[in-house]
Amino acid sequence: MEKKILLIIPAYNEAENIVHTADSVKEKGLDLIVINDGSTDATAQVCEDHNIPHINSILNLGIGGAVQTGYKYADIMGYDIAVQFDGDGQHNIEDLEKLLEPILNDEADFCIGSRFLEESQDGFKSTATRRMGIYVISSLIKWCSGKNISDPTSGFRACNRTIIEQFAAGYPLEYPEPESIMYLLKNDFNIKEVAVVMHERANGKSSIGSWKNIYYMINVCLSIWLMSISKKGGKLR
Amino acid sequence: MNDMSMELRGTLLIIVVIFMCLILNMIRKKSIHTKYALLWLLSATAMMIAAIFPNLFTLFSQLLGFEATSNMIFLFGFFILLCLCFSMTLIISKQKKELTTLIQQVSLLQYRFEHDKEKN
Repeated sequence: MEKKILLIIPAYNEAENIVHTADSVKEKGLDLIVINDGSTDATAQVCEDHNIPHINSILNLGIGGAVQTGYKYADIMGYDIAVQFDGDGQHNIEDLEKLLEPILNDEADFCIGSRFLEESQDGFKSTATRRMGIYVISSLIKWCSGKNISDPTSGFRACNRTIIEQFAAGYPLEYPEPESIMYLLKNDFNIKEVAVVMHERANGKSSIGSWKNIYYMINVCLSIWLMSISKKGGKLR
Repeated sequence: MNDMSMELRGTLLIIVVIFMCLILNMIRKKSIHTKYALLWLLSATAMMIAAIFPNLFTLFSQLLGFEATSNMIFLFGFFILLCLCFSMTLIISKQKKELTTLIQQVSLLQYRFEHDKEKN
């Protein structure tokens, strides 16, 4: 049976990039839903004009809340696989097949597109500071779970139906990527990483400001550690 | 060791009574939840007792070994305010989560509504 696949594209003030991103997905003949996270620019209008399926969040929720709206939609619409795909042109649609493969073959429940695997080609590997932060988070996850996750902050991820339901019911709002990975590891889900190439953002600014980095790191580490010592089978919130 | 002047006690009493009336009126008008108002009412009651029987507080502070009554009052006042702040952080966190769910549900419903409108 053909699996129903949905691409969840969170977008905050991405009027300049969203058409290009959405078109690249449409060319592949895949379903997509843009979550317009209360953008103050013309994102909603652009989606309307170009016939891009989009949900307008009535208020800005931040990345975690926006992505969860997508998972809730995927859950309601009965999709078998959901893929998070950034609206800013960072991710390459050509990598999608690789990302989906382990899930289609039932090798993994969750698949992360990683920039830092050995076989990852050049491409954009973030700034040195960010790479250091990612290394710290990755080491902490290794220490807490024994598993290697080379790119825990990657926003290019695919998951199966079971995880769609889990994420629709509860998803971390503040530091969603690493915390959700720790949750999945804690609950014995099978996570696989595949090498992908990421671009530098096409237009506009990234959502994480550098001055917030230390505060971010402390919070992420704390939430990962707390997740790792919390009870198995609990709900993600 | 009662060095609280009658004027000061009078003023304090008037302020506390006004404060209490305000809170009670707000509860009556439902502009404040009884649950959350209780802590404020309790602290107002404590202030009222202080205004009427200042000796009681002096006695307590001596029993607990404070050097001055004001020290005890500052310590307890500070502690009560911390508790109030903490309970507010709890309330805000809970409301943030509820608000997120609400925004998501409304957004999804709005999407569906517009979808249906297009079809008809």
